[in-house]
Amino acid sequence: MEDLSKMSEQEKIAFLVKQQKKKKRRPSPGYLFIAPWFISYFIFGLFPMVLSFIMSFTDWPVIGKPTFVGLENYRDLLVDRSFHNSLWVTIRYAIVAVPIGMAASFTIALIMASKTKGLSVYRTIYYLPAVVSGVAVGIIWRWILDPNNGLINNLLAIIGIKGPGWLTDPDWVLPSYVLMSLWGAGAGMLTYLVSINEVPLDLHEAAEIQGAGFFKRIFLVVIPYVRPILYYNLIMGIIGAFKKFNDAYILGGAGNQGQFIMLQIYDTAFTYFKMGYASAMSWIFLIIVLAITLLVFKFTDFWKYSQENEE
Amino acid sequence: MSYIELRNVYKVYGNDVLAINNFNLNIEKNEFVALIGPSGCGKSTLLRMIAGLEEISYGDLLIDGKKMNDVHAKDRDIAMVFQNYALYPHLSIYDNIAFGLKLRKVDKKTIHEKVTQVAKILGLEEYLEKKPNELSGGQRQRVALGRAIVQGSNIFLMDEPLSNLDAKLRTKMRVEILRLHKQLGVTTIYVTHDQVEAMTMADRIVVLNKGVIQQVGTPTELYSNPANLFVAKFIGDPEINLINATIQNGELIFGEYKIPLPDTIKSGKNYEGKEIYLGLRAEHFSDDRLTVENNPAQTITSEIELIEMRGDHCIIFTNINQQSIQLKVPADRGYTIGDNISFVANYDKMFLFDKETGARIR
Repeated sequence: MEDLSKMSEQEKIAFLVKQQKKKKRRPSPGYLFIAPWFISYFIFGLFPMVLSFIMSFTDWPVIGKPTFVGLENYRDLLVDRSFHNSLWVTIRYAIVAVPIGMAASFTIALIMASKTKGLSVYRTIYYLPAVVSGVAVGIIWRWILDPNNGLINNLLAIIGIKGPGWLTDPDWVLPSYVLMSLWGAGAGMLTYLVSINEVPLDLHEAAEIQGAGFFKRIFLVVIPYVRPILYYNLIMGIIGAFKKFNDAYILGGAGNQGQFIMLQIYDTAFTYFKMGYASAMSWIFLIIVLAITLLVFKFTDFWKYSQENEE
Repeated sequence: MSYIELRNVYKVYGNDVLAINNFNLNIEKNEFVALIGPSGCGKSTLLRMIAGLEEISYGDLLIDGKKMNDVHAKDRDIAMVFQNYALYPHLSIYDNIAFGLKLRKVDKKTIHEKVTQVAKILGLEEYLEKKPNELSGGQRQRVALGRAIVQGSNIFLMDEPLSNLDAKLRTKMRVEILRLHKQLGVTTIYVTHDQVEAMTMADRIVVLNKGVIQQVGTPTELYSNPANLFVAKFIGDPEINLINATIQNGELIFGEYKIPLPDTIKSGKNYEGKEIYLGLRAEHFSDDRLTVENNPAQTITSEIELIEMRGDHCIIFTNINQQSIQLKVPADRGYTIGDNISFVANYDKMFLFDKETGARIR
């Protein structure tokens, strides 16, 4: 037993820290419980990632051995028109669909946060799209958007408007996909709803007494308060938009306007069996998403908020 | 005509909760009125109705002679301080204080002057650039006060503003709020469940229970002349001692003790043969040796069960006729638990209460 009373304060602290560390050194049995997750992450997550990075420097038609080609895949991508097209399709879609989707989700959440009767029913209805399989959604939308017998064009015909060829007219492909993404706005709604409900009532009341009407309260009190969630949804929305695949795979789109980047990668890998080339695309794609995410971090105070939350 | 008038005010929540029941009160200009009562007594509801955050179910609210029932909160010229401060977390202290002025489109120069002036009054000058989460509870509450002051309203409503602070800060802020009230002379309605706050700060106190006014009066009036059992129990620390007693042949009888019913209690004969409560505050007993020796017939002796040290005095837990009571005696008496204590009650100070209705028997 050490005699603590003879130590200076600094020595005491150093001694106690050492003691505490000793206690911590024994591995916790908890690691055993989280091991399955880590193992599957290494096998199905990290390992394929590393492999794809290596593959991106090879030419590998699946059958046969891969041949090392250096940076050739990346060099080809620089001049690959169809890759550029799919990038452009995806970026355009993200620029339009993400803000509109966020605004829609937030507005729905605001309505849901009010004290209207039967809200739980509405909440369920709005959230339902989020639990339906993406492929099923794609098939439903194929019917809805059918230029001749689709739901929308039939409804438009009733009021005497000839609907456009949604997915058959290249100009209407992007609006069609934005429309479809709005249908799933309910999923984002849930996170907004939680954060809107977290705004303390007395903040609303203080603002009300000070002279803020409904819209001023939304813009001056609610939105600043839920900002961390807005940033979170912005980033997740961008990543989600870049990862668009399911409905695009089902529906396509005229003039290659539905050729989103994920679909392009998929086709390259599993239709044309150019694994190395597809891997290179994936890495370019990763870098672009990473860059955009970092830009969002830089121009917002998201990082500060998430750190505050951790505290 | 009073500055604020509440006439026959009622409030119903949902279909079955009567939160405020026929509330009538006149508040004069520059007055400091405290609303006090246990949680759920309706005091906050009342404050919120005055603020315009809650609709008045029935009755009238008049401010400066004008009916305010249907006037929007922002047009009532009222400033409110909330229990949780209600500061905007994303705004700096400066912007928090300036918020209301900006909404009212006051020009920037005036805002700057006013905010600086208020910050000076409250000693917040060095924190103006900080965010609320960088400030301590006491500082945040001062910002909330600043936000109320800067609006230049004629009425301050305060909803338990000090209840989130620790005891020491609370005492300090109490003095600060009082000083501000003296300095600014703004009519203030202050809701609290803490009797010490109400007693030390208010010109008048309104005691509420279950939405009904129990008594309105100065702190002294409430303490020395409670209207009923509820007020007597609610005001005073330690709580008033209540002893079961019976009135018989003009005498108050409790156990082996008998005292003549004072002449001042006129309605005493209505209670002939009935059980009532005899109320005596802890300081209305004396264990002073001279007093005890001079009143052998009145002396009560019983065992000490517990001693609560309070610094300059202590509270002795003992009993009269198997009913526990608390006595306040000087701290230097040197009693220990298990000792016998002899004391004399000052019956001139006693209150009698109807046991069923709680009404004061006068």
